[in-house]
Amino acid sequence: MADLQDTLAIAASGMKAQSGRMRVVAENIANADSTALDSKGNPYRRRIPTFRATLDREMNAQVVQLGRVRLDPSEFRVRFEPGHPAADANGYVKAPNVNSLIEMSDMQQATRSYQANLNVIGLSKGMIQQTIEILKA
Amino acid sequence: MAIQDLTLVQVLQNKMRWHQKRQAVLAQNIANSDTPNYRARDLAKFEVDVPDKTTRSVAVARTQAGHMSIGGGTGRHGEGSMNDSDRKTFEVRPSGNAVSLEEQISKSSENAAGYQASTAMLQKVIGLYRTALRTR
Repeated sequence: MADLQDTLAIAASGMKAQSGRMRVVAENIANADSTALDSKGNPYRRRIPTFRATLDREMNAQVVQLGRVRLDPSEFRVRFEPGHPAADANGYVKAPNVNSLIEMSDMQQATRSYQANLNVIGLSKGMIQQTIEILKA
Repeated sequence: MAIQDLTLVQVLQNKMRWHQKRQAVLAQNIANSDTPNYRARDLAKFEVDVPDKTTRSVAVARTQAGHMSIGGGTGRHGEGSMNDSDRKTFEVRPSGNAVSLEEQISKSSENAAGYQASTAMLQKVIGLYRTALRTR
């Protein structure tokens, strides 16, 4: 039974990491149009969640953790909008390097992994219930 | 005589323990399905370790060299699949992650089904004892 309880904790670590990833994706989507306040500043830079496997010594299992959130070093998008407060001398505004298509697919992937972990919890719960059923035999 | 002394009960207990451990290993694979450089792992096959030789399955005698050997005689039966490390997995993503989510989910369902079979069998064994103990 102890292993099954560990299973629940491991799957929960996966769910926690995936929901953390969702949070970062939501941050990116929400800030997809956040430009700088003036022409000197930079707009919002896309954030990338990272995962890493860490050994949980108590369970002796590899649980997953959300690593440091990194910044996407790619170029900012540029659009022509001379009236904008953040426009430079030529009338161009730097927009965040967020591609909503990429963010959407990232979100789908996070949902899929989250569901997979939820599935594991469901199966393990069923196994625990079956173990308790033996008492009723 | 305790119920634990029965070979069948011991085997079932070992099988259940193996299924529990395997579920934990598969949960690790699924939790790390997006971790770079993580490779899926699995337990070795479950093998029945029967202490008493008389309960082993009977082998067909090979009286001539041309006879084919039919399975059995080893008293072992396999469950589950091979270790993932010595098998090529379905895909390795550019990040170095080699966990196929579909494969792992089907494995864990299979594992849960095997566990259910063992617990059902154990219930039957206990039921047999109940029948024997029942007074009229």
